[in-house]
Amino acid sequence: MNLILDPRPPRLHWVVDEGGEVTEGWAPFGADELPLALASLAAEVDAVACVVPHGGPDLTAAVSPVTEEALAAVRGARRFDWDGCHMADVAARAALAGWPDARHYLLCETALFADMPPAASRYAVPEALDANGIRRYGAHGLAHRWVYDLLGSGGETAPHRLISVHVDDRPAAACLVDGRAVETTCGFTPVEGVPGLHSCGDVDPTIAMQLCEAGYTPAEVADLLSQRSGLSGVVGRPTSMAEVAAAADDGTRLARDLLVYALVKAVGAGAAAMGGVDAVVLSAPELNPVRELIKEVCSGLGALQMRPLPESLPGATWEQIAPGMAGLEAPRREVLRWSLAVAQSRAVRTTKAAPAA
Amino acid sequence: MEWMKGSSILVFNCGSSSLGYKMFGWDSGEAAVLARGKAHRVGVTGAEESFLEHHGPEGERRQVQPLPDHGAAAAAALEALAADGLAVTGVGHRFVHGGERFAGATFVDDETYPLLQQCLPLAPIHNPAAMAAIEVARETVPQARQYVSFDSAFHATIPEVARTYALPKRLVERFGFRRYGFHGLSYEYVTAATLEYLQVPAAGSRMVACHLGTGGSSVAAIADGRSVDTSMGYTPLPGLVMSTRAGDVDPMLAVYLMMVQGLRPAEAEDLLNKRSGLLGVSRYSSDLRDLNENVGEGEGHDSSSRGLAVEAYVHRLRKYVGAYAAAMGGLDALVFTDDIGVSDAQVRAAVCQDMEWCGIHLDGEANAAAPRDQIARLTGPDSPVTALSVPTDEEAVIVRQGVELWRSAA
Repeated sequence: MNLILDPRPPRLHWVVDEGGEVTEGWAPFGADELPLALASLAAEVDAVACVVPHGGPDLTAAVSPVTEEALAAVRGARRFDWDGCHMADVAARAALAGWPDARHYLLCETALFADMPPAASRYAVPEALDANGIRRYGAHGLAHRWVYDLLGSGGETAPHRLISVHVDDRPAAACLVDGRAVETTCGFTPVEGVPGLHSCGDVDPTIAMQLCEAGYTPAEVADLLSQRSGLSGVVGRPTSMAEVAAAADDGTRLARDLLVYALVKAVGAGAAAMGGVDAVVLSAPELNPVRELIKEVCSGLGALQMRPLPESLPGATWEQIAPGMAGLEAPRREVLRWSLAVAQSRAVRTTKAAPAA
Repeated sequence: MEWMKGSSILVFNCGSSSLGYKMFGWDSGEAAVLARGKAHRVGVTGAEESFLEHHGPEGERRQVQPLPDHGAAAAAALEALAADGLAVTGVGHRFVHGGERFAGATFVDDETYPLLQQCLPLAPIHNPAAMAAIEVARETVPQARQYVSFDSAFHATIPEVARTYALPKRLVERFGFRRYGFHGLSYEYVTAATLEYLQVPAAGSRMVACHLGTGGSSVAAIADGRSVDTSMGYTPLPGLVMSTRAGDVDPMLAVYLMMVQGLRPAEAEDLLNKRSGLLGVSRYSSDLRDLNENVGEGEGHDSSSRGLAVEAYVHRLRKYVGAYAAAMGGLDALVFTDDIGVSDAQVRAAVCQDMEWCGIHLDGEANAAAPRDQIARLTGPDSPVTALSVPTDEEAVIVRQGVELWRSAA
């Protein structure tokens, strides 16, 4: 039996795969309650994978064994994503303590982007900041990699230059040349780029400084930009991607227009970064709620000339919308199961000795 | 333009450390440049001296003198014009940021003066400089009516979807956060010049214009002759990699600088505006010309830093060209303007490389041979997109807007 722990602050998403029988759910997160919650999932497991949402500068492998060094890298990345990396660190330790004889892995969401060309990853800021790890890291690496590998499965050849757009609560694009990331919309944090449900996306950074001048604390500004802005900020109340996609009123219509416009620009920018594009695939954990939104993005990309993709992909919910452009359902549990399977196939050495707490 | 006979308009164009000026007269009925000049190294201390370069009816001269601020520079220019016997009847100013209050050129009068004062913080380097020149002109040539032309006005047509930041409504309403855009006077000029050169109507046209200056740089998407998006934002900080401005960065980086590194807001702003960009990456120079000349030279790390600065500059610019081409559903023209845009064939070639996917087929020889003082075609006849080098003339736009103001007032 395999277990995957997927930090989604403030809760922990888990997936259990018992010989192909898959269950998933949510566990509360807290130092006291987490071990109990994990213990209730299974008495024994063969492998446990914990997703690390941000690897920072030191966790750059897509799959790592859970070692003290790797966990130190995760803790080091808390300065980029405090909640997510803290949860990953605590969950990975709890799993080690709970199932000391299992194989333990870390799956890193930013590793896909670790080798991006410097012109794409480097901010135009003083070198001291770059040396301190202030660079563009990307996000959703597991989903983008899953999409790329799916396109290359079943005897097909994956597109040479692919733009993979993952439309979840924080939509993001990745540009892959032969599977290697060369550009992304996400930055130092996932806030940069396309606006998310609660994160502002690209805005003039002067705004953060001006808000502090006006009396907000930096922590309040961080909360405003990453948790209280985005499409919900535009609508003026908490909303969902499905509601934005449906765009039933003026507020949600503007939010949808902003999202579509940002995605169209992201694809155009990605095409320029790669010197052209062979396929654009927009994936979402559930395709139906955002299917029309994806179609609108594709219709805005009519100027791009691409070759048709396969009409069907084995086992996938998939719709080719225009030549070279498609919508794809990428259920989170499938992305995670596949990521763990890749980890196991690579025979990554794992530790059975729990690092010191 | 008989009705302008006997009139003269002096145009002031304040840069961050310079002040350009051009004086136009209509003695023959048509506008003619009577004098021009530039105050160099305004407010700059260092080994080199500040000086005024003046070209007038009495010849050319280079006058070394202290120019501690833009007020002093404007006074020096007015003195030089007076020494040439030129009388000023109107003064136009480039005012970078007009905020939400100004969507077009306006006279400086009792009603607009306090509103302009309120706009000073919106462009803390350029707006106060222009205001200093207004004050000096008011004292020195009180008979001359003054007006301002706004760099942000050309972008007033940017649609809601491109000007709106995904921020909470209450913040937007309280602070007026939105994309404004700059270099509008330059874009207005090159848009008209491009349409005239290509002999195409504005309606249906789609162009991307790159204003590549030695200091600030930006890109604009221009459809039907009107701005529909641009890389600068609420302030001139975001967008392209510039001489000392970082351009686009994760907004959380600004928070990080204050929260983790303990910088005060003004220090963070200073870091991103004055110590970043080409200077920050290269650790060598804020001037692209220095970096292009020296790529590959020097020792080890320094040399690669210079190369990386140029690569990052080009990479960011290419992304904007692609993004705007996609946003407009295709492209008809790509325009390069301002100092770097008209003089750096190497940068233009790098931007246009492998851009055949959106219809740009650069003619290498035409690009290399393009003169910097006239419009030049950079693509061959078979290229679906026409790339051009177009010298800009912001002062010509300012004076044109002034003439329109006088016409309306008459």
